[in-house]
Amino acid sequence: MTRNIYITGFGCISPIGLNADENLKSLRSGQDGLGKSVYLQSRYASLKYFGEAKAETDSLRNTMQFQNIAGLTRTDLLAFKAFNEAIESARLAPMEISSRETVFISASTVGGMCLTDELYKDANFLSTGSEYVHSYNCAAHTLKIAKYFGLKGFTNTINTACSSSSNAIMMGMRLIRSGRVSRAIVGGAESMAKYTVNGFNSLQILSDSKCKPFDTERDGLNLGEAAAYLVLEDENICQGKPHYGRVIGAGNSNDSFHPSSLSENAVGVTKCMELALRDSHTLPEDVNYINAHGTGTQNNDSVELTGFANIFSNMPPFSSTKSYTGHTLGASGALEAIYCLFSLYYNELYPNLNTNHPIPGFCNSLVNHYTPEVELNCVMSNSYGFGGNCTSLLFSKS
Amino acid sequence: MDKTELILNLKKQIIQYVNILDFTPEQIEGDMPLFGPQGLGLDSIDALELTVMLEREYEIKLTNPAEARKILVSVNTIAEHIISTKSLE
Amino acid sequence: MEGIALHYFFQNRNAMYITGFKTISPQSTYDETLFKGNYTFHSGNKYKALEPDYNGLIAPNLLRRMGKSIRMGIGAGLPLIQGQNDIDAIILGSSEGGLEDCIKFLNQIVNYNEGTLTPTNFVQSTPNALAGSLALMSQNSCYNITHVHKGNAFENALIDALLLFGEGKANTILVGNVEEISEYNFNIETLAGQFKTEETTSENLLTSDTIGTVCGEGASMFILKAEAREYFARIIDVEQIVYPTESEIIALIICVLNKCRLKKNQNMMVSAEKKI
Repeated sequence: MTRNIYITGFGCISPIGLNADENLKSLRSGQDGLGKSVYLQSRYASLKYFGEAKAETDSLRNTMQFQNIAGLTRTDLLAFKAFNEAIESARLAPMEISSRETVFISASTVGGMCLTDELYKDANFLSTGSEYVHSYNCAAHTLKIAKYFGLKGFTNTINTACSSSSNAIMMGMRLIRSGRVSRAIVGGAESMAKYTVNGFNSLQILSDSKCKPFDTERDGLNLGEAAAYLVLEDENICQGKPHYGRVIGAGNSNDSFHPSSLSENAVGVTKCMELALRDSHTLPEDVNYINAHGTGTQNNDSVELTGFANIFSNMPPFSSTKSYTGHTLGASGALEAIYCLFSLYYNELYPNLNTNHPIPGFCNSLVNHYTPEVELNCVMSNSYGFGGNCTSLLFSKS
Repeated sequence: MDKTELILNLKKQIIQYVNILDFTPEQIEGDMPLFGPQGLGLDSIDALELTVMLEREYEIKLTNPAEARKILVSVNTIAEHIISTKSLE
Repeated sequence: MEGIALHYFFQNRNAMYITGFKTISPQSTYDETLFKGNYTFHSGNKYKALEPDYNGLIAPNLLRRMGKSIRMGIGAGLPLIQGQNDIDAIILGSSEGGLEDCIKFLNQIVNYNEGTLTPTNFVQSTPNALAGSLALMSQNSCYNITHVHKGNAFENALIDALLLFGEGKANTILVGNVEEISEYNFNIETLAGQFKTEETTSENLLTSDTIGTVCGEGASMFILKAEAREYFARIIDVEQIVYPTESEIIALIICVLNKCRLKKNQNMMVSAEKKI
C-alpha cells in the first residue's frame, strides 16, 4: 500500500518575495518580479529582463547573521534563507533535522559560479586563492547547509539543468516510499550569474522584454534566481501538524533529441507526464491544473503544448508562473511546486502574465487572471532541462 | 582578398569554429550543404557558432534567424554574403 | 571529513548485480592489460587518463563537440548500452562535470568582454550533458539523472539505482561516473590546498607523509541488473553520511553490518572524501 507523503512546510525566496507569504501575495495580485537587473555586474544588466530576488547579497548575509562566515556565495545565502524558512514552517526540532531519518536533497546548476569574476581569477591562477575556492561546486551549498544544521542523514545534490529541483523532490518522495527514511527536505537554489546570462545569451534565447509564455509573439526567456525547499514527511510522523498537500507521483524521461532543444513530437515531455500519471494512479481527466514549464522560448512552449495535446483530451487550466519570476533554472521545479501547493491549499489559480496573443488551440485553458474559489484536488508541475531531461510531478490535496 | 582565398579561409575557419574532425578544407566543396545529413551535418548550435565566426572574423552581424538561415547554407553562400556586405561598405 | 559512503558486496542477498563494466583511467583498464601487469607509472600532480581510440565508437560529427569528460563517459558507457533496447535508466554521478568546457566558456566571457560568444562550451559544460549524450546516442528515453554531490556523487547514483530496482521500475540500469582534470578544477583545488606541494610518483604517493593528494581522472560505467545468473559482484546496499565524527562512522558501519548480516569472507568497500 502506498504511504501518504505530506508536505508539512516550505520556504522560498524569489523575484516576487523574500519569503513564502510575500510570494503568495504577489501571485494573487499579479505582481511580477521582472525588470532590468539591479545587482548583476554584466553588460546585459540593463539590456535584458531578469527576475532578481529583491535583496542585496550583504543584506541576505545580515538577515541570516552570517557576517563573520567567509566564502558564502549568493547561491549559498539564498539556499540558507529558504531552508531555514522551510524547517521552521514544518516545525522541525533540531533532533529531527539531524536524524538519520531525514534526508536532504538539493539542486543547483550554477552553484558558486555566480561569482564569475572570482572564479575566472582562481581558475586561471590569477589570484592566491579567493575565499570562495571551496564554494564553486554545485554541491557546495548543500554541504554548507548540512554542516551548519548538523544533518546526519543522506544528503545529495542533483544537476539536470532546469529540471534539477523537480528531480530532487522526486528522489525525496521515492526515498520515503521505500521506507528507508521518513522525512525529506528537498529543493534547490540558483542565483543570477554572469556565466549563465552569457550562456543563455549565446544560445540567443533571452528576451529583451518581459517573457510571454505561450504567446505567439514570444521571443525568449528571462533568467531568474530563487531558492525553494519543501519538507516531505511520511504520514506516520506528521499527524497533528498542518499539511499543505501530498506529493503523489512523479515521472522522469529523456527526450533524446538534442542537447539544448526539445523534439517536435514532444517525446520526453509526453513520456514524463505519462509516467507521473501512472505512478500516482491518476487519470488525465483528474488533473485540475498544470503549472507548465512555459519558459517563453519558441521551442519550449510549442513542444510543451504538443505534449499536453498528446495526454489531455480535455485540456485543464494551465499557466506558467515564469511570467512572474523568470526562469529560476535549478530552483524552478521546487519554487513552482510551492506555487502548486498554494493553489491546492487555497483553491485558486494564478495567471500566465504578459500573454496577449495566446497560441491558438489552447486559449480557453490558459489562465489569464487570478481565479479564486476553484475546487482543486490534483495539480501537475512540469520542468524540462538541457540534455533532454523532462520531469513531471503530481500533487494532491491533503 | 580575392574570392578563392576568401573561400579557402572560410573553410579553415568553419573547421576551426565547429571543430570538424573528418574533413580537410580541400574536402569541403563550396556548394556542399553545411546543415543536414547530406552535407557537413551541422546543426542549430553550429549555426550559432558560425554566426559568432562571421562577427569575430569579418565583423558581420546576422541579426535575425531568418536572415541567418538564408546565408548559412554553404561556403559559397557565406562567401557571397561577405563579399556583397563588404563591397557596400 | 566531508563524507563517506559504504557499499556492500555480498554473495547471497538480493540486491543489484554488476554484469558488465568498462573503465577509462590513468591505468590500462580499458583494454584490461593492467590485470596482466601492464602498469603505468605517473609522477607529479596530474595522473592523466589513458584514453582509447574513439574511432568507430563515436562518429566524428559527435566527437568534435565533446570535451574530455563527455568523450571518456561515452567511451566507457556507450559500448555497454549500444544496441541494447532494455536499458531502463541512465544514472550518473560527477563531482565537477565538463570543466574543460566550463573554463573555455568562462575565458570567452572575459576575453570577449561578454560579447557574442560561441555556445557549445556552455551547453557541454553542464554536468548532465554526458547522461543526455548517452541517451541521445542510444536513443534511450528512460529515467536519466546526474548526481553531483562531490565525492559521494557515484555512491548516490548507486542509491538511486537501488531505489529504482526496489520500485520494480527497472531490470537493467547503466550507472557510472566521470571526472576530468582541467586547468579549472586543478587550479582551484591547488589554491584550496588539495594537492602535494612536492614532487611525488605513483610508487611513493601512498607512503608519503605530507598532506595533499594528486589529481586523477577517468570514467567508469557499470551495467546493473535486478537479477542475474552470472555476475561480477552484487551490491546489497549503500549508506552515506557527511561530516561524521569518528564515533558516527563506527556507529554507521556497525548499523549496516547488523542490517546486512555480513559474514566472514564477504567484502565491504568504504569510500571517503576528505576535505582539507
